[in-house]
Amino acid sequence: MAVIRPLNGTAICRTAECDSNRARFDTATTETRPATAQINHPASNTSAIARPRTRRGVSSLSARSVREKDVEDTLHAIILPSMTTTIETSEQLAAALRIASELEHGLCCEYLFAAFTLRRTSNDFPPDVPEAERLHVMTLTQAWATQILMIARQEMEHLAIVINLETALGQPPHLWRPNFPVPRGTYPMHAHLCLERLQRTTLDRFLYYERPDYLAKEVQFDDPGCCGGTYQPAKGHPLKSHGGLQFDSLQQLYAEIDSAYNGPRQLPAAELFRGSAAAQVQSGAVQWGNRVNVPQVTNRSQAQAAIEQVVFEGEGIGENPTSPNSHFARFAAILESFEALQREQLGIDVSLPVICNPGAAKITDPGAQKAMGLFDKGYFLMLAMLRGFFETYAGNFGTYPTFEGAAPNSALFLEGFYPFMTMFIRPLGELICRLPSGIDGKNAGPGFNLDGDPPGMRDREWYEDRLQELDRESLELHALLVDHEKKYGAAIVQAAEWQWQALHRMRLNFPRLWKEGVLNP
Amino acid sequence: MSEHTLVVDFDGWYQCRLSTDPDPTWEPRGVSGYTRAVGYESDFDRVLYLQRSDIPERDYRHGEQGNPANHVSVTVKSARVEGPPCDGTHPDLLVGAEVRLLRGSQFIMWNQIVTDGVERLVPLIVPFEIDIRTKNADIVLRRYDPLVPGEIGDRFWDVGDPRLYIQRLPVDYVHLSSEVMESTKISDFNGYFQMRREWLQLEITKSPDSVEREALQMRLSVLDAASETTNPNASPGLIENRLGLQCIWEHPIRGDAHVEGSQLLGGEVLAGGIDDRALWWDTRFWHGGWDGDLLRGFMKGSLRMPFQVGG
Repeated sequence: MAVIRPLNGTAICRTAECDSNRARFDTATTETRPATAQINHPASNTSAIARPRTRRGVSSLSARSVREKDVEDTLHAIILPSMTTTIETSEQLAAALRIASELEHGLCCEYLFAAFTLRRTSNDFPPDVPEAERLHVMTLTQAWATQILMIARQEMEHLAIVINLETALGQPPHLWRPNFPVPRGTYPMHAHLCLERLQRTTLDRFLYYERPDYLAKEVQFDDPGCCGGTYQPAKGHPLKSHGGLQFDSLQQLYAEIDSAYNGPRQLPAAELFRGSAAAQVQSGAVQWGNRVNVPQVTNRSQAQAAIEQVVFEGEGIGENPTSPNSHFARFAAILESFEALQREQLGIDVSLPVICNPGAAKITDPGAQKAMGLFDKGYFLMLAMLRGFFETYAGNFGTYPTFEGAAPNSALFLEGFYPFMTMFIRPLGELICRLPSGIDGKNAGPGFNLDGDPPGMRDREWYEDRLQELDRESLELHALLVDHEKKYGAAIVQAAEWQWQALHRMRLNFPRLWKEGVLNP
Repeated sequence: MSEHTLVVDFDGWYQCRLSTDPDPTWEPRGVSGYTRAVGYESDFDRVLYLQRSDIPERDYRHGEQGNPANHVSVTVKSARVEGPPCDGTHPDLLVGAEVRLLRGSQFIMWNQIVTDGVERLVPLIVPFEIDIRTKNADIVLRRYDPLVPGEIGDRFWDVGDPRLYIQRLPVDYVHLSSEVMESTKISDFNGYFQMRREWLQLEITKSPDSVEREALQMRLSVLDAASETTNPNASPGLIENRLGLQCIWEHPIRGDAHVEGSQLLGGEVLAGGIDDRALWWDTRFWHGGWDGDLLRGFMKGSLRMPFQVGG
């Protein structure tokens, strides 16, 4: 049984004033501040990552401060983190960064998956649901999806920050992660990593992942297994390559990583920053836009700032009151909105009946099998492109938008990031969640299965061969769905056609982008 | 026989309900970009509607009273004949004629995979078939331009090199255009959206329908989230500066034509095929003043058609 015990009036807003704010959040979007309550942190002399800091200009939303006893308890939690193994060598730091990469990457997949499962259009609802109720739920799920996808994008940003730390350390970017489900015990955290449709326990799980340590007592999660306990992963074993580091939260992991850069146990700068600074990707240089901030890390203070950014955006550490834009606060606000909907007793399930951990399931529907296979191949290729891009980036990316002289590196950037993420992973993932799985009336879902470690830079033919395969399989998927349109529905067939067209165009663009870079016609 | 050019000038507001990056192009209701389908509205169809009568009522958005963008209608504002003097032409009959883009014309960017070059963020308009007709349809001027003449046609996804349709890419892209501001009469971008906010807030309190209230609330939230004035984390100018944006196209129209009522012009509007370069029509137009809440933009331009009298 999952138990989230939010601090009444703090982590999750319960006041009348908050109720009025909540209505606002219910239709909130990417940058709208959810109605999360003010949380006053206790003073602390612990590491920079755990230490609260007041930032000016941050809106202070209404609610009560924590009570004195809670302050005492949370102070205790900060001062006594449950870490038993520390980072004392650059090898251990590399191992910790690999863990951080896998967790950021894995959480990103979980969040994307949950968002993909939300019922967001009229077609997603059983026909007997009255229009007004359907539209009411759609308004909520639209706002939740906005928040969850924004958080997922920020996990990608965090992954890129970790990659820069790896590059500084002279390590290759780490883009592998274990397949789902990842059983508790694989990492020291006390929760499985699952692909599950959005339901109450999913939000409990997400809050657990993102909780700040000072709320460790209030935000407990007794993991029931994936998907509300309907799926029990096998026992997990710690990955040997990860060096046995102990931590119970992402905040603790990053606090330990930070200790390698600053403080009494800091490692020599010659080890921490032996990699080429030019090989680190900065968001400004590649025009990721101002909502993605990936800084260069060439000295201790830059490394500290980068790590602080990660826990600031995730757990809300570093602000007093806690950031309403943190992942934790956003998930808390979604949970509040979710609970409010439950109280309305409409009897509408907000998410599609998507199967738990679909990559581990024996899907029998041919359309779903085909689409899931296509998804995993494209996901693998995207990661290979990203790894190739990060590995070969040499700071000579030229000037946006032509990136003159940067081909073929720019080809990997221009294919691997924007179109692959927004025109493949997301739409195909959403499409799969609307296909039958062939099992117990459940829908299929994208498995995010990795068949090995995505390789580093390859020659043009390697990428072209795989793009061609995706193009062909995507066309076959469309043909299969057309042949059974009655079963799959016209909207799915249309989406599959657009999916093929996008992949086809991406394949045709690639050799030109590789050879010539961006055109300036 | 004398040869002339019929020149038609048009402008007005259009509506286009579309998702915006980083949403996938075919995202039905908008999640990650700054546009949303809300309440009773249908899913996005991405189609450029230049006439209100073509838009289903449930999809027609409203804004504060007095806002010119409330009225979707691109019409002919003036028409004239250029060339040697000729009698018996009445181009003024076209004034007030309705302008449309047919075949479900859309802005095509597809998350930056179909255009690159100086600006990867500029759209194609595909398919492109312009239709100008008087209210009683006694004059119709319609012509289609294939994106890539021949087998590819409008299949933009079947091309790996945008140079193949270079003539259809925008020729210029102005971020804060005085021409746009003059045409739309909107220059105080922050004030413009502040009025919208106040109007939305008022409408929320007035609407008796809970779905409608939620829809208005969503519009307000999206506006707040995308606006620099209410959200310091918003991308600079994401919503405000688009009011000053101008994207300019200038290209020939080379494909099939359909002309009715040319006798009213005292002669024959000419329309050859792809190979008859001398008989191509030409258009130069821009879209700008994009209101990301109303999902409206302003379109202004001209169409030039070779025109023959006598013979």
